[in-house]
Amino acid sequence: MDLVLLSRIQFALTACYHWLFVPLTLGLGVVMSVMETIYVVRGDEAWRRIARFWQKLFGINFAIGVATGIILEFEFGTNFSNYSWFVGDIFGAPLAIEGILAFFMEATFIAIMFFGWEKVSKRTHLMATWLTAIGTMISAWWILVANSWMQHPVGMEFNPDTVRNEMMDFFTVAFQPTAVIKFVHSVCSGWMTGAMFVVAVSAWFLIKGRNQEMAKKSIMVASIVGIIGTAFCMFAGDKHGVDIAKTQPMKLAAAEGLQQGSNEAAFSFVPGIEVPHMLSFLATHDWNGYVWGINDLKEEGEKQIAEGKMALEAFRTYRENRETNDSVAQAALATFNEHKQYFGYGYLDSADELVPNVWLCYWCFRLMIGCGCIVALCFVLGIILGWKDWLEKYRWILVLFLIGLPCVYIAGQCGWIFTEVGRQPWAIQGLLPVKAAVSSVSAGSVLTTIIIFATLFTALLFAEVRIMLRAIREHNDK
Amino acid sequence: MHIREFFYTFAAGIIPKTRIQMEKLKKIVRFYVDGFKHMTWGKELWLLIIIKLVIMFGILRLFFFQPVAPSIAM
Repeated sequence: MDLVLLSRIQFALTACYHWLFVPLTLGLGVVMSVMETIYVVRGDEAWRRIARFWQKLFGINFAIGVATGIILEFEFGTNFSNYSWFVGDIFGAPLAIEGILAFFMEATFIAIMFFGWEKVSKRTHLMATWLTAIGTMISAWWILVANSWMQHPVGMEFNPDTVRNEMMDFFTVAFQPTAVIKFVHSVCSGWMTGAMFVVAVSAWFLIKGRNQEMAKKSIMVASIVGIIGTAFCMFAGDKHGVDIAKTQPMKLAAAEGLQQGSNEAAFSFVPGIEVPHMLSFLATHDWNGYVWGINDLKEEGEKQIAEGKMALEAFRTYRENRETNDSVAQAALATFNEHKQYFGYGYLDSADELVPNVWLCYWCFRLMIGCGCIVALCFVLGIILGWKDWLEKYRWILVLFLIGLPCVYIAGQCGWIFTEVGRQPWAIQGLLPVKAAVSSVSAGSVLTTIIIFATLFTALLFAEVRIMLRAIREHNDK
Repeated sequence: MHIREFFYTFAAGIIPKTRIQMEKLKKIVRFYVDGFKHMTWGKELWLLIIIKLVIMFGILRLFFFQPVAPSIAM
């Protein structure tokens, strides 16, 4: 098998596994903090028990998910060494900040949260709980800054002597609009996950006729958090669409399977069902806005590849002559600087390589939206039924809440698959294709580690889910 | 124990210089020792975390994930 494909499969496997735990941590953190706030404000012991139960599940999920992201960092060094060399100075900074600031913040306050119930004051404990939840979000911020930079590289300068990109403006990297939008979208999808988890577990209690008061209160709080998360997620998703249309038009074209660009681009719900002009509106906020098609971008790509080849050739000439023939080196450097914008395109052989897997992008995007809508419906029903105290009356809605749980995970996974597959062939958009980013290791060794991971992750997941299920099954609110 | 006491102790330096600081440090240590002693689910979870870390750093990192020299700079 192909080394590039294997390296991508391995990274995707690890990232998907990691993303099983992260959104639940983000969402459950907020839900449990809101519950504890209600306890502190009202002084009602029932809310204290509720908050403690969800904190226990938060702790189990935290322990299960901890360190799963470390493997991704191993892979940067082993399988993507060219990538790490090329942009490590920029990419490493947010990862380091995440490790130093956010992780230590979480680690400090999580201890007070779990050990401090009987030892610190109510308000101090509440503060520790909120800071734990906020710490998880700060942690997500820096990781998403790193990812956003790969989708839209800004604030750096390429140094041809070291063959590295160097950070010129930290604040541009840290606060560029792509990062802000991605943060809101991803973190709010996490809120949806945490809220849906609480709603589904509570629905299970109601179906079983156990812990009913706790379940009803939990559904109400989680549904409100969930619907707020959904609203922000949709808002950021809309902004994300406009941003992608500008910065990654091929990704958008692939998501829609749009071959030819148009001012009247239709949005396809599923093949055969289209709404005219809607894609134009979603991508540009103008009903007649132009949306690039795959073929237009390929045509453009031919020119970019030609310029990229010139940049790459000039770069090689510069590297070969910089110590022996200064005039040739300087001339090559001038040519390189003229075309360096397309440097990454020089690694591509044809414009066909610029097209990601359209089928996967198209369906992942639709699954994300479809499953997200089911989850949003669950939150709306949770609020209405909770408000009217009708939750036990409609058993089929409780079953729908159970279905909502896999849906929210499918939506999250599909969202990331679309994001990452849609930017192929790039490791860093327009700068470095994945095939130039991978290390010169044997495909066999990558395949071996994939098999080890798949086995190990599956075994760990089974063990860990069992602990979570046992904690839920054994819970008695009295 | 109040959260300010944690910050105070750390701000004053890791090594306690006065009796009060020593008391505060003892309180913090007791806080953690008690917390770990009275864990219920936590024991099983810590075991899982340790197993995971041993696998990741003791096996995967040591035998399968050796950093590779980048060829792009050559």
